[in-house]
Amino acid sequence: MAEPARVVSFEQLGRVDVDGADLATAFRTGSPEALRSVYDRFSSLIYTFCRRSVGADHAADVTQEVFIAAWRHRDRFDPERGTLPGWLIGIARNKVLEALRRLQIRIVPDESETNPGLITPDSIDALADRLLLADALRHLPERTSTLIAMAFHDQLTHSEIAARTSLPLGTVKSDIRRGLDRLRRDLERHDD
Amino acid sequence: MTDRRTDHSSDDDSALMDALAALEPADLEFDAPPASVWNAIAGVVDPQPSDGADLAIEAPAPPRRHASRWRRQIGPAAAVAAIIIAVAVAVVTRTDNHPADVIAQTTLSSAGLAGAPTGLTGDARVIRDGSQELVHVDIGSTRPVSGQYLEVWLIRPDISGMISLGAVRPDGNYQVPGGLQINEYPIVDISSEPYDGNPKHSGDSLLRGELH
Repeated sequence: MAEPARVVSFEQLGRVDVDGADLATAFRTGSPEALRSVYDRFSSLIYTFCRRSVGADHAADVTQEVFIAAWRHRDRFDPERGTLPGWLIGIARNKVLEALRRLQIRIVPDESETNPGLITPDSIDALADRLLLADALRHLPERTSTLIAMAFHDQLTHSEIAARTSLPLGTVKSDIRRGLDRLRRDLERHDD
Repeated sequence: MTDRRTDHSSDDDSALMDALAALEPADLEFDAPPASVWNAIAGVVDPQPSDGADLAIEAPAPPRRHASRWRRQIGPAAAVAAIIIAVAVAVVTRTDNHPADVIAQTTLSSAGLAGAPTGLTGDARVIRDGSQELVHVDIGSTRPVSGQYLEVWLIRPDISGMISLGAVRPDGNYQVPGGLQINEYPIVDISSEPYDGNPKHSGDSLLRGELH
């Protein structure tokens, strides 16, 4: 009997227009279209994370490593245990640390020397968390994203936001409420 | 700060709100990677058809103890991947029905089927053709008795479900309904059916085999 088919043609790496859980499921089951869609949706997150961690010179290479590793190990992604971007950025974190170790061995041979400017695993994790949130935020509807930024980044009250945007106060409140709910859903994951 | 916080908070949002407040302007500046990144990924994920080894379907869930070889190889976890990924293979090889298109097969026999004539044989193959799966059935010398016709079925191993692929056709090709996980219906069965309008299996099977 013949072996099951094992290759994907480049043409098959098209796009599927699916969202959220569907995309995660399609990715996990190995749909090559889903890989392209996952890349379209999350490559900016991963690339930006890499750029800010290992620098622009190495960000492209590390981003590439992340998506190839994610595809090869997609059976390890468990939608029950976390979000797809959370899982991807976990892979990115490991690839970044590997890359930093490679680079630091050349650049900072004396590991005992403490350098407050040096990137540490903790600072990588904090950056990952901030970028996950920022990525979820920028994928909210534009108005919601703007209102939430005004509320929490600019520290404006709902009334101040309503005055500045000329939106009814109730709209501001409900938009922000829905936005927060959506963000919480998007970010829900188990930090195991 | 406190009143601003309560302004936005009605429950347990404080961690989320703290995180939002902690975002730096730079955190909101996202860059897309250069196009070369995707090209490199696609290059790795898309091995040359002649080697075909790099993008092995990841190991499916551990085989169940009594699973057939075919079912181990195309287990439920990998079945969707296999179906979708196989499209590409079919595109490459469809012109000549290359053997790589055959993803499962079985011989068919009347042995052990109550009421069936002894010695009938045939075979069945599952073939990927483009985006479709076909079952090709060769019924050998099997012929319907007068007043009946032959029908092709896919059946679950525990007989808990069956799907008709229709009456036997001269070309022997039967399209598998899109979305059907054929590995869940691995038994190929040829039944003799009266012209009674009853869509159910008559219970009179003439040939049977299990794909593997």
